[in-house]
Amino acid sequence: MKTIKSFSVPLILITAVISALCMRSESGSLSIPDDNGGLTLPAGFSALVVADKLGSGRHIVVNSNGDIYLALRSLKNGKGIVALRDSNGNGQADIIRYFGNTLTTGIDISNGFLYYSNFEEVLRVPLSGGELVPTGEPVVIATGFEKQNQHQDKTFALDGAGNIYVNVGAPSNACQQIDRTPDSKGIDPCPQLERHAGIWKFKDDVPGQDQVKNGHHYASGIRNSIAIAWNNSNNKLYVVQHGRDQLFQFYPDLYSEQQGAELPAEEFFMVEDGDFFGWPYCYYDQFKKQKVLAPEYGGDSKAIGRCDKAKGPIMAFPGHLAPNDLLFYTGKMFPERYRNGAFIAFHGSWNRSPLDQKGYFVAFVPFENGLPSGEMEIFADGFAGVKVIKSPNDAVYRPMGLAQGPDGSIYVSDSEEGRIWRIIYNSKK
Amino acid sequence: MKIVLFIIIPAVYLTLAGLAKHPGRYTLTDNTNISSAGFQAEKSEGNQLYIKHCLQCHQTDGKGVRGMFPPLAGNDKIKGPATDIIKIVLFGLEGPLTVNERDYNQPMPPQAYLTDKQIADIVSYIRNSWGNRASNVTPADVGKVRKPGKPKN
Repeated sequence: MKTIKSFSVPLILITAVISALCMRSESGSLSIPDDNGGLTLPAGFSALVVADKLGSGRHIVVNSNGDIYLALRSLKNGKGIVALRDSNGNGQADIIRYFGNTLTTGIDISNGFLYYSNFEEVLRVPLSGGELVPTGEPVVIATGFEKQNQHQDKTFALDGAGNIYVNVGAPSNACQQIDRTPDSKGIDPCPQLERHAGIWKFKDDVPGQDQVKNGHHYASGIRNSIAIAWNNSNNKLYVVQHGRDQLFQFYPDLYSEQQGAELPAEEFFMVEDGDFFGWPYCYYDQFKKQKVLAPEYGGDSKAIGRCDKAKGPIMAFPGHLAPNDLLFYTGKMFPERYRNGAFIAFHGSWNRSPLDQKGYFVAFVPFENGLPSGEMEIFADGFAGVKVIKSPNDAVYRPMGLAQGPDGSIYVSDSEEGRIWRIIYNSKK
Repeated sequence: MKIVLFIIIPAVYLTLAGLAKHPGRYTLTDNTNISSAGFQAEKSEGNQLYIKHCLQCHQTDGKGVRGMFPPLAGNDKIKGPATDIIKIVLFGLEGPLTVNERDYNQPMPPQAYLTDKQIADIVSYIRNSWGNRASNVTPADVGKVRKPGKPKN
């Protein structure tokens, strides 16, 4: 008995030292709740809640020092961005500051500047000297966009080589003569393609660039790509499109209720200079695996017509899931198979009713050589907090923005209550 | 005992790591059934027209979609003057608005292609569903708002 006990003391010490080393190298002193903040994750992953009740969270970015910036789509106390810092390293933000006077959607950091956008322009402000709240004067980088009343988010991606690519969504569902109205034909050619429904490229450091005078019309025929990201592994731009709505509602003779809920696919595009992806004339049918002519332009749910000329997706997701952010993972914390793969935040559908709503999860798509190398997987789920979502308001949380932290953690923002989760690998307490 | 744990813990870890390599796949096909069968069983004209023309945005429960489409349920404006609601249905609505301390900002397209009778049925329905209680609307009420003297029937 005695000998066993004396043997076990050093063993306990060794165990303690080894676990302490493991904790420090993998998760520091993060305090991780048993329920992962309500999320379900693949084995080996866990999550903690960084902050809660921040406002209507939109896109999110994490600086190289760990400071977090969350865009707010509605002003909170008159401010549109919230900055957060975890000063004691337990994972929870303990310094929270609101700043910025406009509602904000896209947000990113490059070369010491915080870039952020609203419905009408993209701005940047220097982030210097380790300051949490920028004290410099914001400068407008891209402007001159037409006012629009839907798909307004001027989300963007930076290539790190001096350029910024701005999403300009379509100001309609399908470029009808009267928007979202039964029996209203599509305008042909669609004049909205001149200033909308595409990507415009600007310099990332030149103030006051105008969409028409200075912007380069990089790609066209994209209905709305709130999810937009630069892939550093092959230096190309990728977006995930919000596909069109209301095929069944307006064309019940051509589409069943179920088809209207499932079609069209949300399309994942690799975007190159001069590409045309088909909106409003075409949509992608994931069951037929091809672009199909839209009913507003004479389509009958089968005809292809001019759509053989539109560039196709690299992957098709189920309809109406609302991909709202895209992140190519470059960290070293997650297992090797995640490296350079794509995380996509699906905000979740509103327009599948009367079928149940779908999405409300963060998906992962493995990549090789710039293209998907496997099926989409649900990576993080449980945001909604309920099994069946009949209406979007049933969901407690909806995943919105994605960001990678300096240690390779993934941060996810929520639009409903303003929660931020941090997802880590291999550090379950 | 401690030695046994040293063996068990890595074994559990390796098993979990193995599972991580085969996470759930997501398929494109969808086997969900129509979920609002009970809702659709109500056969009033107003209910049927609501399902066809309004439900996709304002939802089965009339609560709309946060950030996009405002609620009709529990919205004082819906229970207010009927003329205001008829105008919104006929001519649509644009720009940001706040209902019950939440912001909404998506355009509502005009529904002028509906007849006066259809709009009257819809407005009466939304004014008296999901706990709302307010006066019914007649086709003549809609006709007066659409264009004095020219009802669409």
